Amino acid sequence: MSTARNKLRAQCLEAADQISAECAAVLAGVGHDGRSSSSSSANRTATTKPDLDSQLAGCGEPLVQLLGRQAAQVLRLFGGGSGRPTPGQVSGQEGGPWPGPAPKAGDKAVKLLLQRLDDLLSLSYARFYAYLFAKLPACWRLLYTDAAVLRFAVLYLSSSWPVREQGVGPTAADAEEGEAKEKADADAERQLREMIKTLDLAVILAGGAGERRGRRWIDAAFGLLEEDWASRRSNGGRSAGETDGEERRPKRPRASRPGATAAANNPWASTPSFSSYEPFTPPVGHPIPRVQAPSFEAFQAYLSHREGSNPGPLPLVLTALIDDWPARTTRPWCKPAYLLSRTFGGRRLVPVELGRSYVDDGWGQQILPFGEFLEEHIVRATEGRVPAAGDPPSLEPKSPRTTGYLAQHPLLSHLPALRADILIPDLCYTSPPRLPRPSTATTTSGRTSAEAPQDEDDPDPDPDPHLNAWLGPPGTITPLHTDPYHNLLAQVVGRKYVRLYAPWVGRPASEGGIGDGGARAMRARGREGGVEMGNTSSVDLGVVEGWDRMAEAEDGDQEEGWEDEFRRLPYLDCILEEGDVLYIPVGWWHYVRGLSVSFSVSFWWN
Amino acid sequence: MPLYATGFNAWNQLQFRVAASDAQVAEPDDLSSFACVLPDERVRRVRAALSYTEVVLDNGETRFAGMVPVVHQQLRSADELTYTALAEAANGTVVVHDGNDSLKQYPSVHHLLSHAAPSPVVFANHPAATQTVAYAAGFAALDPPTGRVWTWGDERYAACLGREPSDDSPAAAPRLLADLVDVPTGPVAKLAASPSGYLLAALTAGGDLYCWGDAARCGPALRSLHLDENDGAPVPVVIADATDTDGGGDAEKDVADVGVGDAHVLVLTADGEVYVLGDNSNGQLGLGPGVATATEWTRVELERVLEPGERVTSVVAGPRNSFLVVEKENKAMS
Repeated sequence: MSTARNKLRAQCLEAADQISAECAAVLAGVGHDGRSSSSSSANRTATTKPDLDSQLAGCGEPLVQLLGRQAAQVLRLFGGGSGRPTPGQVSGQEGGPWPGPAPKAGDKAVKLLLQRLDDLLSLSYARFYAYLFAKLPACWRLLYTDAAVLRFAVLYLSSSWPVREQGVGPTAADAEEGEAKEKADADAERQLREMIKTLDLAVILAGGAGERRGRRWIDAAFGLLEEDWASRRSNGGRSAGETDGEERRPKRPRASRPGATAAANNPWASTPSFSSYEPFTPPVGHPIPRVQAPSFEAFQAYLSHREGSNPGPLPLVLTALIDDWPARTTRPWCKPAYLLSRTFGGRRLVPVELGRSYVDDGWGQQILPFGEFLEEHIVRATEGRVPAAGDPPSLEPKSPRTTGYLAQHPLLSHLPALRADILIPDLCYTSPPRLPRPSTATTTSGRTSAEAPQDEDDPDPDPDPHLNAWLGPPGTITPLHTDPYHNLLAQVVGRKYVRLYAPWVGRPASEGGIGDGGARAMRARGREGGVEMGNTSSVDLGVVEGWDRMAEAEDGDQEEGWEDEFRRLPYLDCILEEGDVLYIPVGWWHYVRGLSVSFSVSFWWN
Repeated sequence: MPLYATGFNAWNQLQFRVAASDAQVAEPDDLSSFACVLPDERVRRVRAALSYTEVVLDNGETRFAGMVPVVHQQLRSADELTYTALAEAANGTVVVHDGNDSLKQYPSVHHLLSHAAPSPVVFANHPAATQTVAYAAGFAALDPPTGRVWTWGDERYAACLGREPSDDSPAAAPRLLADLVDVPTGPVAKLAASPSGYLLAALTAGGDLYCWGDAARCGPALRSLHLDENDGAPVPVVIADATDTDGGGDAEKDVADVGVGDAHVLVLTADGEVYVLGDNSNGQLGLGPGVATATEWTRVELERVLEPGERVTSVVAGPRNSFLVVEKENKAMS
């Protein structure tokens, strides 16, 4: 029996024990005034534990009770005892025997338990839609996450693969041949995918909310699950052989330590890189100045310096700033095989934007396995294309495949295995100037993200930068928009075209200030269907410049000749090469277009 | 008038007689078919909340099943009229009538109970008889004598308003649903919606049913309502018995009552049949185990459910369960 398996089992039961106890505490804490202890200041002072999790009370007693009952049921069915296990039973992790025959996935009690956890997931998830994103009470994200943790526990503890290895010796397993073995493998794979989906959705949809469980619990569970799975594979799923901690991921090439530069030592060197196919390259009209990695002090001075009448600093391309990132050397993000190895063999789920641009009709989001995204939307979108002669003209009809873009996703906190591959530039800890308030403040992002605070006045009290990853095929487009942050956009793989317009665009220098932040000149959108889109331009730059066809007949209320006026507006642009970092000052309108397969990381800070 | 029920039962909200010992031990399962849950009572009114069922009997007594949230208990003991008329949307917002001519909207039921700031938004000129129903992100109110319907709520789900929001007709305040003003079969007599759903239904005095709502949020199980085919305006719903070929075609049935859940609808036709549509993952359609959804209107086989001489007089939908109020014929049973 592997250590990972015992640890994960213990972690599951411990979570169920915690949830059961916390729900009981919430129910007991309902005071005589009927307000739960978390919402009554008088009771809160009496509570010794300032526990975020007690916010579960906000879901109301029935749902808290239902969650608590399911947690108790997990312990009853899988805890090896008749009721809640003693603390020793749960925390005694090492080497304990797998208790009795665990209930199987098809058992009636397990089915009902999964049904109730699905009920809790759908009931809490429904609240994510009912509330405005920024106003969703934390309790619903906590409820979702806890229900997901329990669902994972039930799937893991009732799955056939850990139990089978324990119960069936090598002799019986040897008899398993051909079809039976294949079927068992397919079943195990299906069960594994369901487990991964349950936890990944909790991270993607609910932000992995919670202190005691939440993201930390989920990260640990993924680590143990992958270890356990690897030991099953290495044993052919036959025996319960011991797994040495050093051999946790035997299928992976052993990566060199960051800093070891000899390419020969890089086990990924021989695997294929992403295609460099680049179907269209826009001309650069007003190149952004390029400087070699400035010091912290030099960059701070640049941010504080006012050039001429400009109300703020200008964009700048910084070179040689990320050359030492493992992502560009020993842990190469340009290698699909490496990325797959860091995403549980491509099984981890990621949110992908489908469609050309988030303002187009038919644009949508889909959550799918990273490996599927890589294969469907990146590798297959570029395979067989040679970057040399015979480039198709840009206006040739695009392939019918929908563009898939892993955009504005906090991938590196979602997949901590990749987080170590990059280094946050010191420059993100400079103090940039604040943007003077536009006369019409509309800075809420058109995209929504659990990581992006929506408060317009003080968007980020957090001293640490917000990291987002952007991975897509050639032709991804982020339309002209502004963000309420300063931004360092690091180009790790491939090439990207970026065009920027100042927040004072269309405003005579004599007037000073930034006026409406460029909203009029950029033809900013307004409120659309109850969603504030004022940070996004209605101009489709690719169409105006003749790089793209018009998606469909544009609305006819645009006055004639606006395009000529728009084309006369001053701008800066660049093509980001691998290893370049673009500084985008807060409030600058930017249009971003992936030219080849492109993988970037953005750092937002204030 | 016995009460039959099917569907979501996670808090025993379909079990009016549970031995305390049973409730402690076993996790209650859902009901997959309609079963009689209150045999010997005369039921006047049913309130089917997510976690509990409240039944008011003809003799004025009340029966509870399931688990009542503490705030509902408090509201009920503080002001039963307010509790009875409470409309509580899944986004937390609640609306009550002030008893005079105004609707008051609070950010949450806690604000209503504690009179905490902010003070409620007041919508005047809504007579005391106004009936308000909540959907997940807003409300619809019916003035019974005129049959006029007002809707308001989150602009993101404009289709739930049944009208186009604009500067003159903002989403956030009650505005007339003009398309339901002069419908052929008379004024609207009933509104139905689930406080955690995105589908609304209006029933006219003449037995016509109209539905509107957010097609994407209602999901594929309700696709046959074609909610997105009328620019968000209410669409007429035709119930016809496809299996009944007598008389040479599908006869459109008059609708006597309607219940709307989170993702399911049940309808009582004037000829006493019950039809269901939508999600059945908790057994809320009563079509038996193994049926995930009904994507077309499906007749419930009442002959397998009811006793001889019983007929359905009204239907009620909880968010994830369904109820039939049944009458025994006066004649002695054969």
